Amino acid sequence: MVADRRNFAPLRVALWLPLIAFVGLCVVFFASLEFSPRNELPSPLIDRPVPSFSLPDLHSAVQRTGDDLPEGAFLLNVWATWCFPCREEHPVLMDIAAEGIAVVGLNYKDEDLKAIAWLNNIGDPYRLNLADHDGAFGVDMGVYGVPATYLIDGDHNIRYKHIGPISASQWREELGPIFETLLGANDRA
Amino acid sequence: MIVRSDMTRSNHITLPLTFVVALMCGALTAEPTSEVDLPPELIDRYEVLIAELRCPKCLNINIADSNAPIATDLRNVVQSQLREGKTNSEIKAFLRERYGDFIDYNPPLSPSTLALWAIPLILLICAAIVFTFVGSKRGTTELSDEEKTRLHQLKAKYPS
Repeated sequence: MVADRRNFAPLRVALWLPLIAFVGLCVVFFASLEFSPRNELPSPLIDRPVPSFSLPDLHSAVQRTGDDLPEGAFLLNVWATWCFPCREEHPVLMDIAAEGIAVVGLNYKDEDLKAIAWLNNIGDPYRLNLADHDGAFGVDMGVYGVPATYLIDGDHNIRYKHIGPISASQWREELGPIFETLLGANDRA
Repeated sequence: MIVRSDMTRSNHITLPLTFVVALMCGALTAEPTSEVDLPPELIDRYEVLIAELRCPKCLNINIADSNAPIATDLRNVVQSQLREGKTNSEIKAFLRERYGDFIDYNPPLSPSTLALWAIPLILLICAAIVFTFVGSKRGTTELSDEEKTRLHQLKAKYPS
């Protein structure tokens, strides 16, 4: 019996290893479920210039390019009338625009007439609205869900990407302060 | 190639989550998949590419199986770029530039993906060490004189 124990003691320890590994994996999985941001991909476009484009203006159908973007920092908001959370976000965008901040709309895979009617009905926070009918510019911007909002600095570099609707508190606590720094940097430049 | 297949498997370490997310994606969106309009010689490459590209909306499902609108768009992007004569790596580079390394189920070796590629190898080495260790302990077991006597007694008692 003494011999048995000497021979099998290391094996007994080894037998516990799978269970320990399993529990460890469970901890890792639950931690990542709890703490990692769901459905949010880091964008490789951060700190890169807005991709070049030539898109029709939603209202006039005139072709717009990067030269038509506002001077200084602005918000680029991807929206559509078929996007339910966009309606929830709309009043927040109205408030942001009322602060005098330039908001550019990218009307994504939508119908022009529906989009214009929506803006006429509930208000138009956008300084410029680009119509991306087939979503090709959306692919260039790495859009995979609507709404999405990009913070663009005075040199027209993408500095921040927000996925999903912006709530009033998110604007106050998260995006607004970041946008302030972009404005500040622009003033110093 | 054995090592390689082992690595791909490690990407699927979150297999249970994959199923859950896949089910959710199926439930949330219902859009007919776009038709494939490619010359026959490009179909195989198309199938390989869409199987290797991850849907950015429904994480952990490829764009071949996802019904999300963005997956349809990306399948169309792949189709049109194939028609333009782009190579597989050019098409993947185009999408990585926009959606990040995440889009590629077969990501390139880079400092940020080093752990992804190294962990399976490290695990393999650990397993080899454990098996050698446990195996050698088992193999070299020698009976003591006392045990040999007992064995003979037992053999005598229960002849085969």
